[in-house]
Amino acid sequence: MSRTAGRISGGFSVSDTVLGSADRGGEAGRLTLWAEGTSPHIHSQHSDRQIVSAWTLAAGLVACCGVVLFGFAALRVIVLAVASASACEGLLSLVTLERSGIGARYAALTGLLVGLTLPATVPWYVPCVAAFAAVVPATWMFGGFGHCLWQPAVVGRVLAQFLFAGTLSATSGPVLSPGRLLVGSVTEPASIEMIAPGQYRGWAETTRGPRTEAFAIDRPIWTARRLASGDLPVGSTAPLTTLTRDFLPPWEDTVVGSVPGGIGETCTIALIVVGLYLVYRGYLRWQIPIFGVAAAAIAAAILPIRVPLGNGQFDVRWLPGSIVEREWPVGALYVLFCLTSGGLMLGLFLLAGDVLSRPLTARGQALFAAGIGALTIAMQSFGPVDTAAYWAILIMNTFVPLIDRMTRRRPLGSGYAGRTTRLTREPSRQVTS
Amino acid sequence: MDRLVWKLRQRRTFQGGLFLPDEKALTARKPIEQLPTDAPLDVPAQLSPGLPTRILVHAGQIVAMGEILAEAASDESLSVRSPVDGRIVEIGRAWTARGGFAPSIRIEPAGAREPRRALAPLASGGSTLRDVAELARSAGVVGLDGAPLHVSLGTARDDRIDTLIVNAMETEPNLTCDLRLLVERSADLVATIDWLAGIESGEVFRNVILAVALRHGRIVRQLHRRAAAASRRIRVVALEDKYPQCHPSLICKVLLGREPGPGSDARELGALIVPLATLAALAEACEGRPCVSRVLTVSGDAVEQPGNLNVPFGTPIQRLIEHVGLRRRPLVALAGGPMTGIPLPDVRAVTTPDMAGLTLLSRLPRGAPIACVRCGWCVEDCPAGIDPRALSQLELKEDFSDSERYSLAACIECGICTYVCPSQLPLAEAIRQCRGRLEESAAGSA
Repeated sequence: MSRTAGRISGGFSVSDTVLGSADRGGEAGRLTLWAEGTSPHIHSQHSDRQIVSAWTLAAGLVACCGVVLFGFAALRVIVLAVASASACEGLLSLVTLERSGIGARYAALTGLLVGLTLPATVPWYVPCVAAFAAVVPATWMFGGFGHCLWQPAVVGRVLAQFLFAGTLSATSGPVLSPGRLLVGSVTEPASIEMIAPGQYRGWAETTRGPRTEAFAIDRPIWTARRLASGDLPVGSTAPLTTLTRDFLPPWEDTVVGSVPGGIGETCTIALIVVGLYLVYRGYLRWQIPIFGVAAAAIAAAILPIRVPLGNGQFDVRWLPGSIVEREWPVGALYVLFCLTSGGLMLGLFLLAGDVLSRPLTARGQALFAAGIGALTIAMQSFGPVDTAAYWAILIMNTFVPLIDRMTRRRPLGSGYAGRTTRLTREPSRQVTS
Repeated sequence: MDRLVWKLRQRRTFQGGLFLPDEKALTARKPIEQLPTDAPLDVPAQLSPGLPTRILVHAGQIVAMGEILAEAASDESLSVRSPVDGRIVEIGRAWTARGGFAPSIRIEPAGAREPRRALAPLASGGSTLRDVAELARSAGVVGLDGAPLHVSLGTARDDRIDTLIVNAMETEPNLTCDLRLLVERSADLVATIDWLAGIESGEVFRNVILAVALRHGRIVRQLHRRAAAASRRIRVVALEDKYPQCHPSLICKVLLGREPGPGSDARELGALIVPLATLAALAEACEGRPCVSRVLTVSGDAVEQPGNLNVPFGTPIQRLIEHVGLRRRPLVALAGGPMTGIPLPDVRAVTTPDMAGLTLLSRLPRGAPIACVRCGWCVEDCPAGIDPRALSQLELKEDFSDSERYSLAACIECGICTYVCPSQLPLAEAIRQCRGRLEESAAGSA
């Protein structure tokens, strides 16, 4: 006892060490518990809040790029979507008297993701209705945060596509011209210059008139559909060279994002950067983007294009990815264009990896992402719907329980031939009397 | 260069598991210290639960160190010896981590004592399995999970055991007592392994493995040198110190290539796993000292001077806390490390042979649980390959399917699922409860 005095600092003496109880009792029979709880008594200190915050930061960075590319109109769409999602969540928590901090954060993230999938030119009610659809039917009707089968933001976007097909299925769209980034307007028809296919030489080369703030070109995804259906007059001698020269923006444009499309869909570079950030934080497994992109690339390289021969006949060419014209591998360029032109990149980096609706294991996620990639390319070219990547995500989300079943891990000690399991025996190795 | 190659070599490991921030730096360089025996001890009358004994002493009796206090009531049980010279105060009850309240013998120590030889020392070499088992029985050596060592040695022939694995992995956070034993007593320990390997001229344990953690490179090299100088072949295997590599099933999986089935143990695979503390006790027993104390690590963020102490069985943890001092007010005291330790309800709980450490934590980090977000971390990191998320949802279910039973039985209760869960769900606890129900229903139907 004599040693203790010098050893104790911080004002605690050993007599204080019966913790959580003033009543120590005199008899051995009256012990009080120090703390309830079972092992483990340490925690990794990761929380759902961190996951949702990291995801919001990633989506916010992509949104910033979208605002630079599409101007104030993009900011308006995103703010409307986030505000309307948060308002819906707030109203619902008022009605149900259930308040959850994480639910509100997730609703705001859902609104942000919905905003990213929409083009900047939509009327004000489109983001509001899409965000409402994402929060109320797609999240709350499934039981709130943590219980959804389909990614809520994607559900909102697809429902909006049904409701506002006219505005969302336009064949061409505007992009701010060089020199008017961030400050220009893509919504005033007077200041938008239409550029027909064939005259367009790339975003950086565009010269603008005195009143031009933006120019409108065909959406690359629309060109892809026309090519697959044999509607695009590309000529039969060197179809892919003609396609990339006359009908498509240069590949740098689709990578940097200066092409028409959803606010967060076009800037592939930004999506890759935030994807790397999420992988670094450990919230996104690399399997999702890598397998998704690989499967999409393989599908794009295999699935046929139709080259019109003029008299209503088509030349169906399989393996377009392997086409080399004039000693120039245009097939590879075509594949790159297929990958970057639609919502596939946004889908793989930010929507498919969402924790709530992805499979549990790494193998399952690889399968899931590969399905999304292949389905996206197939539906983008041949499907009946306009938002192929989002439909692919919803379809694969539907298969998540099945994938989880298929990719279960082998429990320790099982799976050896001739093993009889003694399930009734006490599992711990304690000796019983 | 050789060292680099050795470090970078592909090592056999298991799927799942985590490299935890293990706080071993607190005590890793603290030499083993002898705890002064100047306060009364409450020696439990059973070395571990399920080993019945008859108490031989009565209050007021003077006992010498090593004298039998309670004798074994069955062949499988172990006698309890006095850790000190002293006087019996009373026969009462004390709290033990594994057995709850157990009968105990309170001894007032009388003055300083010298470690004394209470057993007849065994001639080294040429001994038979029966001799070793008899030595372990008379010295009171317990093995894995508090099971008596002499029982597993006695049935080694019947179980067709040919592999001896000494488990010095100690991947549990905070604990460094095995590490200190390896640092300070490696010659003794290797000599004891050598002796065990030579039982019945090497016919019993044909395959002798010492499993140590890879990152203690200097110790691993030293052990390699000592093992090379030994008369029998001892394989020193350095394994990744990924938690919970120290678990017997995972030791088997990594060293033998397959693991025992759920509800079974390593003997099914012909292996006998011996914790390092048991080996140290056996080394002492060879020199004639009975097993009446063990080295344990007192650590945790509430402790002022964490360290490794050689502590007689039956020391109240209050005595340990007084010795190491407190820096903060502890919220929980654990018998063992923070991942698998058992909470002790009071400072009068006493130490037992299977208690490898005392961890005092001033923080309990878990917040309020929210809905599962399906992040999949528990599935990915589970060393047993089960889905803790799905199993924790079985709590309300009445009946379990076969695969659910199987998964429940496969759980090794390492606690990683609760540790990683970002929703703060008590997954390990839920699985433990389901297991309890499963065992109850199995016992009810049998």
